[in-house]
Amino acid sequence: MTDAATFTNDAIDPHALPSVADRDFEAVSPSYKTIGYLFSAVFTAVTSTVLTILIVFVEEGTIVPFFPYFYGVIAVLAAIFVIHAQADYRHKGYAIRDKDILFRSGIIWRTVIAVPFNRLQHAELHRGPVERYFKLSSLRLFTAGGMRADMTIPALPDDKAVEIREFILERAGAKS
Amino acid sequence: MTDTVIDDKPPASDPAPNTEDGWQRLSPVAILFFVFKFLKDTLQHGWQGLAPIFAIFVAKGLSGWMLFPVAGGVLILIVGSILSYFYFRFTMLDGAFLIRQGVIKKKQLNLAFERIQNIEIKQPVYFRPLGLAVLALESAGSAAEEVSLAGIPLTLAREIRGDVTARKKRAAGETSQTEEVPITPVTDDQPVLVKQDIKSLIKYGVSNNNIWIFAGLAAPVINQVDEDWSWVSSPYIQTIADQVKAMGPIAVGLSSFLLLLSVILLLMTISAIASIVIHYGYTLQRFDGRIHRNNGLLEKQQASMEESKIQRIYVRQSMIGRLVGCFTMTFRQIGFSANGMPQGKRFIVPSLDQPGYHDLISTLYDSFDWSKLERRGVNAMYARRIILFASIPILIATAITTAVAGSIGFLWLAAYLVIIPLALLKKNKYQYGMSGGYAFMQLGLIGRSISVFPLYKVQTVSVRQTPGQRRKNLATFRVNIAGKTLSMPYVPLEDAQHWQDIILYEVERSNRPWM
Repeated sequence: MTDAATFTNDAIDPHALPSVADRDFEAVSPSYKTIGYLFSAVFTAVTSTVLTILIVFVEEGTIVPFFPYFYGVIAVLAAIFVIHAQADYRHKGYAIRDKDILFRSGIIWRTVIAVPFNRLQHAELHRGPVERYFKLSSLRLFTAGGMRADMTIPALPDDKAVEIREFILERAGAKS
Repeated sequence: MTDTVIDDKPPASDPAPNTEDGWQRLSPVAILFFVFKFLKDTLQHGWQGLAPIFAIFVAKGLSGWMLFPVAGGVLILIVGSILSYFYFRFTMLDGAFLIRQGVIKKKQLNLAFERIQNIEIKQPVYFRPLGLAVLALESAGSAAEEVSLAGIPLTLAREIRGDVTARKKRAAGETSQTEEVPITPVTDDQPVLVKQDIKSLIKYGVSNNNIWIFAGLAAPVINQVDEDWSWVSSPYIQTIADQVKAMGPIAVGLSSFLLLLSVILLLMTISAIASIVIHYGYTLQRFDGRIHRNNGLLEKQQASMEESKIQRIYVRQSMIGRLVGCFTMTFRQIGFSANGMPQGKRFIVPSLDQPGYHDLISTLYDSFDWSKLERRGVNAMYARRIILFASIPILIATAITTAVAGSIGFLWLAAYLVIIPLALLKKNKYQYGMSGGYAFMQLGLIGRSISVFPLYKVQTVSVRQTPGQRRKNLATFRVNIAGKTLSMPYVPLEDAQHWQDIILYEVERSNRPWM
């Protein structure tokens, strides 16, 4: 192997390694919360409209007596979605380091994933219709690990997403 | 006719055959190869369709009208194979194979030497007396780009393989030392790493999981052949059954057990024979930065794989393998099959014992030292979690049965006698450790699966915590190697973070190609 000459294998002090654990994570755009609220609102509007139509038009005596309680269920679900949107926003964060990018996510199952730049295959910017309205992009990073994106960072402001992608691709291309 | 092939010993640039005459045909014996290939493909993909035809044969005998479709099939097979032979032409031009093939749908394939991932020489039994061989070429791309040059002289096959290997090496920009590439594909002078005798191949055949595949294959065929199950109620069988029944429940249990055992033994015998046919004379060698294997009884195979392409070494011991002390090693490569799912190409070393696989791994991964490997286990909370989740259905079943049928419902609690030992076995099989820049990860229940891989080949690492794990300061870490995710649950958070840090460090400072 050609790198026999340059290869070194010095003992490294485990405490001297840069640690993922003491990184500060940068939050995604606050609009991510707003999208969550919006989803909750649309959900409430659609389900209660359907429910109201059913109550008005379905003949009496079938299952109608239970129906009004469903407004309560909808209200509880809407509240859960709002709380989830807040918590989800709080727990999502990314950190760009010199040689890799970290992303943490999850409210209950909290995950920190790291993608080293020199393993990156390609990077994609994705804008859905709602994201376009808020001028946001998701950044998807792919390694040779699998078929799906290894890391998806949602709700980055457009210009920031482009900037991050440029930086990452430059780093990924700058293989020695 | 194939003897006039380009003979470029100094393979700088091929003398371009610029006329149609540059195109080569295979030896006419290749017709046989096409016949067998066609039969094999039909059996592999359409055996379920053939099973009823076979069943009709067995049941009704060869009646007159049946002869027409059979004769037609045989005719199509022979004519198709002859045409395949006539339409198959190949040449080598500018470091690429050009192959024209196809009877109805013609296609031309252009396969550059650099893109060839695996090159394998096979010698089916009917090629051997004539000194012919099959050169199987596999590219990194799709399955459509795989092609076999069947019926070329063995010497030519070896020469081509040498050329391809040499050209790939030069293309990889290796230094001046390659001007004399030692092209010695068949090698008695190279040290042999592994040599398997018949006894160990039988061990492999008995312990690998193929017996269950044979069982699965046999089931529909048996069903088709024996749609008439009335023989079960024939007086002879009934008399035996009655006699056994008369002897009491122990005799019934014992005879059913013996029947099951004999079926399994039969399947094991088939599997052992298959193992000998495929792996007869197995030898594993290592030179020129590649590992090479030779094996096969009816069809001799020579395959090789670049060592740098190995993503991880995977060692597996099945349940039966544990009884006979047999491990199977596979070298996993990255590769994508036709449907796009990652499916590593496999390179098997059958039937190794524990010192055998230890030695082989530390030979291939020379800084990996088994004596310095500190194996750590996962937290007991993992076993408790399994028992807890299994308790939900057990306790519900107990409660309902007790309410309905009284204290007999408590029998459900006997399930714990199985669940608890299994949970502990599974927990104890999870082990992880590092040595000399390599990681070791093991999991299993009764048997075990071990992966050993260089840290710099990792693609991504993640650390995940559930609420329960957070309270106990535990975590699950996941390592993604090309095409495979390995995870270790319920390890100390500190360990998981340390693995994440150290793997990132190794990956990021490495400029060795991982693919």
